[in-house]
Amino acid sequence: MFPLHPWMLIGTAGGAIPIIIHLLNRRRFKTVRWAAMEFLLASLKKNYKRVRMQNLLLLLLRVLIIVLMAIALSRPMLPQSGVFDAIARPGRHAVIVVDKSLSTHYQQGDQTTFDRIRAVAGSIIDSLGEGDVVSILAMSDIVEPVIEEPTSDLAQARRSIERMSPGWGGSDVRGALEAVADLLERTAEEKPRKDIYLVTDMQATGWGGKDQPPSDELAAALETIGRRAGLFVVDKGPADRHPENLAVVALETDSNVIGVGRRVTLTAKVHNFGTAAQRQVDVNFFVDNFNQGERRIEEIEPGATESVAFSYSFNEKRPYLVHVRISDDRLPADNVRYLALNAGDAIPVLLINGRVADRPRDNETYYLERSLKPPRGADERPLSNISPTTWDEFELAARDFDRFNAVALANVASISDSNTVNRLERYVRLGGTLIVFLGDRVSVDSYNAQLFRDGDGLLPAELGDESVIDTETARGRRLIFERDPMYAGFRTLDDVSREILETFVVFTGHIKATPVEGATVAARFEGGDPAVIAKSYGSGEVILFTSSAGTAWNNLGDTGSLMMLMHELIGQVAVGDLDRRNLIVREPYQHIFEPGARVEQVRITPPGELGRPASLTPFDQDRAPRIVFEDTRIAGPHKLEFSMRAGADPMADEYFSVNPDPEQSDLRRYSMEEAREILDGFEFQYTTDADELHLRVQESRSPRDIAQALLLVVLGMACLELVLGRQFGR
Amino acid sequence: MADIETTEDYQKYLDPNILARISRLDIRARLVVEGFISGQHKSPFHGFSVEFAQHREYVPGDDLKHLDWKVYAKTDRFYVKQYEEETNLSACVLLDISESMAYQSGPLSKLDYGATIGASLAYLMLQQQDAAGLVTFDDDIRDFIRPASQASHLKLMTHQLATVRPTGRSKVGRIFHDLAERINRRGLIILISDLFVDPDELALGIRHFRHKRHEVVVFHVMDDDEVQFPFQNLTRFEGMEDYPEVLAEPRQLRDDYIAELETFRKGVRRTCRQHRVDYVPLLTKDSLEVALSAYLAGRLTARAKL
Repeated sequence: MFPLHPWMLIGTAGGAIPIIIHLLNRRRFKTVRWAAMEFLLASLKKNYKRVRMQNLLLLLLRVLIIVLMAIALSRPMLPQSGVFDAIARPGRHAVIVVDKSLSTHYQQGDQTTFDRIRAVAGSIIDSLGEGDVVSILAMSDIVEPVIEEPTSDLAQARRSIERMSPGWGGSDVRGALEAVADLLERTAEEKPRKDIYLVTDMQATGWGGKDQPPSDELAAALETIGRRAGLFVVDKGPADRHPENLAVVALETDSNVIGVGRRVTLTAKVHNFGTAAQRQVDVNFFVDNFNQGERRIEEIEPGATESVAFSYSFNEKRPYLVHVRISDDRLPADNVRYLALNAGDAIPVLLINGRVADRPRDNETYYLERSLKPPRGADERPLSNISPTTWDEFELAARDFDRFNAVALANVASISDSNTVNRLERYVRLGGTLIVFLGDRVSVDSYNAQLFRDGDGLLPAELGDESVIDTETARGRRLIFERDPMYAGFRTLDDVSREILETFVVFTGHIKATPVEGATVAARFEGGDPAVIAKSYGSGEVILFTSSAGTAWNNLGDTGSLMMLMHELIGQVAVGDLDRRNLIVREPYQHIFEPGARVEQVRITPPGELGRPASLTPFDQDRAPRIVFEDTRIAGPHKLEFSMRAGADPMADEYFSVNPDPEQSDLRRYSMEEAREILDGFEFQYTTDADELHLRVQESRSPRDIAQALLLVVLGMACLELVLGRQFGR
Repeated sequence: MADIETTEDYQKYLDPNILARISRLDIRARLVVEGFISGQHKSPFHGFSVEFAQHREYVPGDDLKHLDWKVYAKTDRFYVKQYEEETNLSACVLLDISESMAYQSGPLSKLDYGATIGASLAYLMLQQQDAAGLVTFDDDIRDFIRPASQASHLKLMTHQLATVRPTGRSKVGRIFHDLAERINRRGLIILISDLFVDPDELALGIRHFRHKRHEVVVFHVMDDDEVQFPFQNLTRFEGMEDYPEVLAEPRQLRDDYIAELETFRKGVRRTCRQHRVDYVPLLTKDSLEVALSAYLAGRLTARAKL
């Protein structure tokens, strides 16, 4: 038995009180000169033994009352499975929340943080006994029930814990608490006593920022938890509040477009999340698991990111799997980063022709098409793998354009069909790129009403008057790129190209545009009117050219400048295959096939797991066949295998990669005080030690259970004492 | 006799609480008896003797059977016939003056109460022309006043009763045998005691009295405390009559004490019944009327047998 308030045990000395009272009473008596002594002596003789026993019993009872009271007040911790424990405990419902975020891969000695978390979770289950039930939740970015319905099968729960492994995602303590509150509400009928164990490494990112006030949902969840249960936070993180960690936070190509045989620059970024400078960090570069080179970073300051560039030519038109790896540190899970790419894969771009003419050259999209699909180079290799498709305006309303990496509108008069507007918005929101070229056919009112919608729509600027220059009297305006800051879409545009563009391209007409707040002006005309305005919309991007794609208002098409601009834009901004193929943990993988692709089944093999078929949404009238694979919880390369229908050409295996969110590599940990601050002062028990945890559980229980039971016993004994005292005549 | 007010005044002296305020035993005895008598319908005075003495004028309260109708016929006046009182009833009061009789929780100790009974009875007896004697005893006979019927005898007895001091231990065996031999004349033996004596000796003593054809009335005087045992807290009982002292929790002992006592009283009662002895349990808080009524009943029995 472990007292929590040992000084209270001094109170057991109070057990001497009845003895002292007894002795004092012995000295305080009345004296009576008594005549009927004979009978008194007779009764005394007869009663001597019985009275003695009664007196002893009463004394024992009184001593026990005081001693037990003192023990009860010292909040005793009885060992588990004690008989008393079984009486005092009406059974409880333990809800164990197991943190399995990326940071739990951290090595502490020969164990990982997760090993420790798992051990604590196991010991919590071991501490349960007959009549107890347990629920287990796994906490990462989302909270997954491992055992949701409270079970009394503790062995099964133990096995479930043993089977758990650390994940690659982040953690979401707030979400976990909300899920717990939800669980508590649902299982309110279960055992009256509920203990919640949040076994975590206290990684700060999982708790949310301190400036982020608790949402109403969280407040309600905390209220529920406070009302129904006790919360124990068990910190099994490393001892250090800010552990050292190096991570590969990015592996990027210089363009979304990976041409076959073209030299591609791959850049690996290594960030130091720790507090000390890291020296001589070796970065190894692999293509299809073959080491292609090693670079050394001499020093990375704390909080700094160093980049290492590798150059590589993907000489075949096929899927490649690239990865970089740095030497292992305590958290190896973020020391490798994968990049899956399909070299030479076509990048489908949809062009909407706003002016259909008899002569191809007069089509509004003529120059766009030519720019995006330039003739082959001297080596017979295609200069670009962009594959443009041109539709008329009405086709946009009728057909599915989800599979295109970018959609360009060229002098489209109006998009009055609200369904098409909605589809376009959805397309961009989910990561598509929309490039809008204006022109003389554009209905400014319709664009403002349908696409701008007071800033809520797709357009990054409200359109105004046309500004057309009479070339007879004046020469056109030139283009000036914004340099500070440089628009991301033009960031790879080198100085020479930029100078060519600024020197030779002349604009004679444009539509004045007022950028909405949050939009970026990438380039202006002489005189200051915006020429290129971009804004993010959902996961995608909208780029507005205030001039035309055809040669009506400029000489972009004639000079080949359009090719330069479009390749830059699509290479940088358009959702390339790369973006879709290289995901962060928990981002869903979506694969959209060409219309009519005769795919029968797609099999996905996550790293270290068995392959499984992905659900294939078949082609229907509106939409291309596609798969959506949402279970991207494991970091690493995922293999895609395609089974085709009979007679169709086989498709080669491909990869997509899943990488951890770099944010998760920040191992800073919150202290109990910080965590409490984040929970708006919510009271919880915090411990770093499983043994202490059990003590605290007992402690939190004792005032309600053990101490209460003890006090009840004391009360019962006091009543007994009263009755016996009366009975015995004392 | 006394008017109504006086009657009530007298009657109140039957209450031990009132009596306790009167220190002179002779006065006390007179008050008790007057109070007692005034409550009776029939005057117990006047004898039952056969030898005519004189006539006296009738006063209300006189028994009509003693009216002399002849004289009435002659004189048209009521005369009562008075007879020469016979003193053939001899009563002897045996008062226990052992230490245990000193116990007192109420206004009167057992001894006070017993002495008052003794004095009252003596007064009553002498009023009735009976011979009254007094024996005080503890482990031996302390005083022995032979029964006599002179009125002056009362003074002697009350003085004796007023001056006794409780001492020693009561021991009845030898004393009773002795007394049974010494009191020659058959009569009434009135034993006033708490009877904290050896029951066997008591039984033998009573048997001896009965054997000598004495009528015996036992006034068993006890204190209310001795019967109820009302003590609550730890008490040191200092034994009288050479008993040791005992420290005890009275509440624990009460039941058994009362049981013991009850056994004792039953034993005494049984002894009395066996020997056709009147047994009168008295508590010092009780009215003395009980004692006097019991005496009168005993006296009638005694006379009837003479």
